[in-house]
Amino acid sequence: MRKKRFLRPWIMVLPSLGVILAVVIFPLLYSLRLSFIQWDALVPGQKFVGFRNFLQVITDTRFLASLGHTGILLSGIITIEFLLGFLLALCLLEEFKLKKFVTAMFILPVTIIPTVAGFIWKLMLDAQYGPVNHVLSIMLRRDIQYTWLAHTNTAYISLIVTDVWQWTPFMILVLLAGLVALPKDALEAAEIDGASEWQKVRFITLPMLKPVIVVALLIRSLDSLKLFDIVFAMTQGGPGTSTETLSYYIYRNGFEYFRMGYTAAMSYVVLAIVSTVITLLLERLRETT
Amino acid sequence: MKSRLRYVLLAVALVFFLFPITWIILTSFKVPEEFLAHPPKWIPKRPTLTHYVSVSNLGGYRALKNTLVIASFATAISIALGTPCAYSLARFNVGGKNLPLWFLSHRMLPPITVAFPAFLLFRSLGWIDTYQAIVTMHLTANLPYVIWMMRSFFKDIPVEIEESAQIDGCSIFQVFWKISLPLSAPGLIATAIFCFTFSWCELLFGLVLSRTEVVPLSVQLPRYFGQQMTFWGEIGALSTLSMLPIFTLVLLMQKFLVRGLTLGAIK
Repeated sequence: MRKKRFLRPWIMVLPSLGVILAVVIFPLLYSLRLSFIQWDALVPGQKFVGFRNFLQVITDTRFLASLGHTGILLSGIITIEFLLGFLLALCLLEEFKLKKFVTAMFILPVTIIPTVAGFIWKLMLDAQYGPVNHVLSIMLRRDIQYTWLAHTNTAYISLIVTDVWQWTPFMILVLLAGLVALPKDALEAAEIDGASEWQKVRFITLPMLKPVIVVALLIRSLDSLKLFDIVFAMTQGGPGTSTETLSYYIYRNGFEYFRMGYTAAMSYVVLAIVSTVITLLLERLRETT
Repeated sequence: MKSRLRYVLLAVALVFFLFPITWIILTSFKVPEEFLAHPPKWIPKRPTLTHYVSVSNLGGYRALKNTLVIASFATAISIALGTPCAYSLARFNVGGKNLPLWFLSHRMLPPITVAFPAFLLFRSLGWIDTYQAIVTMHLTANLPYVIWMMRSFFKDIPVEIEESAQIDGCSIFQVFWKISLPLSAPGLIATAIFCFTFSWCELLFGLVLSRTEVVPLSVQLPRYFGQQMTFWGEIGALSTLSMLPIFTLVLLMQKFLVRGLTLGAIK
């Protein structure tokens, strides 16, 4: 009987355990082996090269540049999404007639395929046919035909705007859920003491909301570190290689340049970088269980 | 906050979030002279459905079908395998606190790090351009997600209900099947919708594992964008078709949205 009690729970876990081992752990181990091998479409044969691939990764200027690009995008994305999301969550906090409808409409961008979101904004920003240049033309009273994605700075702005458009609603919803759950008494006491609107937000709401803010920022940081889809849809890493992100550069090495060993080594370097954020997020989630 | 300022901000935000969606939907009904006009024409004067017909010759509906097949199988398999596992983790504490987090950590990995070795392995199996390859790789994200979310939904069920069923002579499999699963049905449906949406939106695995037969929406759409000519009408039509099912599904389970998006960290 006791044996049965011990066995049955494990029987329910084993199929999932097996699948994860087969579809994640096994490929990762295979890739670990590859990372020590020189295997290149241009050079015939495979040979063991020790840590040479890894040395090459950390001295590859294009890899370091892609790390920098990812960093720029990440900081732009999470800063704007947080500020905008917090502001709009505050706006949605109090009851009003159309609140349910407005909240539902805010959710829509989150549900769109990221590639589709990329193309929506590619059309919005089109030099000749796009409404953005059209509105700017009207406002500045001259014909504007600016190619947003062909210049490095505006390509960054375009990618950030697209991500902000798609994921700020996530921030709004999460921060709003956090705001609703806050105890009311501290805010009421501050009100009686004559605190200003800004003081209440700065000294009461923000500190109390901190755990929620940290989780939201970690989730968005993790997604931004892996940024691939909108880069693929909008800039393909261009102009030149100026918007190449980590994931995009790995993709190119593996699927355009066919440098197998090198790609595997680079994957592991990126995995190490991303693991730091994963660990932080897992620690937060452990507390909630 | 001053209420007038609040409404102005919300109105501006509403325009920002909804205008691009409206624009792509309107584009799908415009004739080429309209969507290739400078300055752009806002409202189609002669609305047309031709792009919804022509997109079918360009593999659009096939991509829609492929995405539906991939997302359905990836969801069904993840739920079937993940739910019993989640139950066991929640009730019998199998593997302590670390096993659930170990499962979850796989969802957070950058897909590209798994996609590359998986591509090489599937190539030697001859599985490139098959449903089973893409569905299998979708499990890497969906299965850990189901396990983690369902574990938290099962934990919400009071343990007393299950204990009384066990006293009445039910085995743990029976308790799971007849008591716990029905009680957590809303959570199960929400989790399934989330899995479906993730698979529907996924790009990378679809991109590297498909060629011509099983191309999903996220991979098909960029093919309409060319150096010489861009099929904006078809892009509009396929984008519109790809948005509608998920809008509907997600609006149905608004209540679980925050919990689902934050991995249960915020309820």
